[in-house]
Amino acid sequence: MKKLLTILVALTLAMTLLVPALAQGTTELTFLRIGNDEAERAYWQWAIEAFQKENPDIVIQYDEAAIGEPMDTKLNTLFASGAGPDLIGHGILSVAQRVNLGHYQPIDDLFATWEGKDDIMPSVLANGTYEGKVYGLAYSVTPYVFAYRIDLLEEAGIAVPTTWEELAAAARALTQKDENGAVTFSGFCYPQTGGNLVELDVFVYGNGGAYLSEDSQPVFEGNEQIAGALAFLKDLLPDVNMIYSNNEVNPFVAGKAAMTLINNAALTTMINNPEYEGKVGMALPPNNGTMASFCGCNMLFIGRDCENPEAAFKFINFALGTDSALKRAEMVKIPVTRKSLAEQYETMDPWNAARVACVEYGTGMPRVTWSTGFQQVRNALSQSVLFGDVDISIEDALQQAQKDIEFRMEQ
Amino acid sequence: MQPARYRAQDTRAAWLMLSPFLVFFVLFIAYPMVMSLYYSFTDYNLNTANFVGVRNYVRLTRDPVFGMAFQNTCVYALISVSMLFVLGFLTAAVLNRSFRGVAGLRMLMLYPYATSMTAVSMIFLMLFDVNSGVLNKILRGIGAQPSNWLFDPGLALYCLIFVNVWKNIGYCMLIYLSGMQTIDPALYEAATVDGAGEGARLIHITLPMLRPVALFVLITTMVDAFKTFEQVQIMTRGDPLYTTTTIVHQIYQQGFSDFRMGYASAMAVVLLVVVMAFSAVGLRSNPSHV
Repeated sequence: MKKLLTILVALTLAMTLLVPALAQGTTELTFLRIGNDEAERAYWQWAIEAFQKENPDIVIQYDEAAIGEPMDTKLNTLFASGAGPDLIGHGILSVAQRVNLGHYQPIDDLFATWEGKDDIMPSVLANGTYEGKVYGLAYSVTPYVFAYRIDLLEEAGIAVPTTWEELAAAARALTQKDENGAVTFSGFCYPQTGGNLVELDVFVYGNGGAYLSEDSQPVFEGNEQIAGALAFLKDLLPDVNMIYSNNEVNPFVAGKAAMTLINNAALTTMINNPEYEGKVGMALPPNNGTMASFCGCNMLFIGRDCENPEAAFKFINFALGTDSALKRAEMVKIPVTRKSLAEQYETMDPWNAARVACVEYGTGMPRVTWSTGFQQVRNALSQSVLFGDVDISIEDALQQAQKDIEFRMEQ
Repeated sequence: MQPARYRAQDTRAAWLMLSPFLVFFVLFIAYPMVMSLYYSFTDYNLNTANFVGVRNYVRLTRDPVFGMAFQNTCVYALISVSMLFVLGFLTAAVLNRSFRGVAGLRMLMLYPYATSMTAVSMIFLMLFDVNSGVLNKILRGIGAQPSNWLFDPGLALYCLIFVNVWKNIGYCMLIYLSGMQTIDPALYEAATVDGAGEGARLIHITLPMLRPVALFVLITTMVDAFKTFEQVQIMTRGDPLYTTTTIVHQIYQQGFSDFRMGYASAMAVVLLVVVMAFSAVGLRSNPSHV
């Protein structure tokens, strides 16, 4: 027994000394990605395996965290302990904040040598650029699409709505209520709470509006376009909406609504469900004169603690290469971010043209250091006007939002 | 001389035996507390920390969301603690009797307490679901108007309080029950001989004898209520319209979403002072027994 123990201890010590020696010459990179959905995970597992086959001297350690606070908490903890990931897959919301915290490395020099630098869509490249420097390159755009039930619209003889008036008429026609007047099937569903209520942004942009001035200052008070969007929704939603939170399954995906605004990726499970084959359509959201949507964007960044940015950029180069981008479009149904692939992408799926349009006309979250404050204020504005108990006027709510955002912008 | 030597040895042995706790206390309680206090006077953002004096505390007084969080926390604590205090006692009084199935009932009452708040919150999230939750199905079934539960700004906080009371009532019952079972039965027998009824025995024997236990229940449930977080994070995330956000939820939001660690530390210090003040009031109300 004693002998056996001695041998085991000796072996363990030998392994401890030998393994790093054997691994010398291999670069290990840690990669933390935002999101924990299966489709995307499968893509990254494929990409890492393919990359490592081509580059046996580089090993990628993959990890992921759920969207929102879990991702930020994990990142903060890693950076606080000096073990920040080498590669980070994160959204627009993170750019200004984390650049200011020094968590992301500028990659202008590496970007200048990248074969795809002239091919990346300018609107997509802008998302990862902050104060004139490139920090992140987009691997995925997450447009909000207007999703509708083809079968129900056809049955009711209603054309796909393209304007607010058409949307309101279609939603009212398709809504079903019980004897108490409670909505049992929603004509158009819109979330009350949960995370990031970008659905309001789609209506604000579609009304020709914006939340920020040209010099990136918030403009809520007296903003007629925001007021118009809120007035339209305040009039429509009580008649047609089914209350839900963005943290839950969208009623449209659960088969309880005829139309909605939804993240393209969140539609995947429904599209793949044989029950809904041929029944789900996508289009650019109905608007009030300006074609628009919300389009989020996830990018690859090189972390502050990365000691081998060249190896990290090699992986970025691989993940954003044409083959990988097409594989990704096929696996995750996410629009490509390179101009040269747009045409090919549109032929891959009949709804890809609609997805591309939502990217083309899409605007993302503001790239400002107070972006999380903006998100909270915009959410509160949506809730207070559209769902609040208090009979607050839209003008007063906008004034309050202006006050709130200015308070949050204070350092 | 001999006793003094023993005393010195005893002291060394005592310090030695206390050292694991002391190391833990200094590293994981005292040091973080001192650092939180220090950070509350800085603009620490996970990167740099500059001294800003009392600016964070002044900001707290102007922050409407923190004001709501403070108010929500107080309402949550006040109602939860009152209900747990009374219902826990009543349940224990009922289950302190001897009848068939009492052991099973006591165990059943403890089950929610033994379940994690995360699991409980997920289950209640489904029960409260407006469109497909059991509660609204029941309401519809009896012809009543369904409720918006967690989406109703006037109701959401009370839903969270209900969940907290449901989960922790077994804990209070257990503490009260253990206190009740240490009361000398001779006291009850003597009171019965003197003609005291059940109510009189409860008021004149059980309640006074349970004062230290009641104080323990009061302080532990209050501290627990003031640090409520998981429930809020899982069930509402502070929505709708900040009506369910709490101080700890705001600490998390400010620290980890807005990167205002200094400001979040100031909130933590305020919370510590509030909890200490309430605990001190509780302890002073019963100094002879605790």
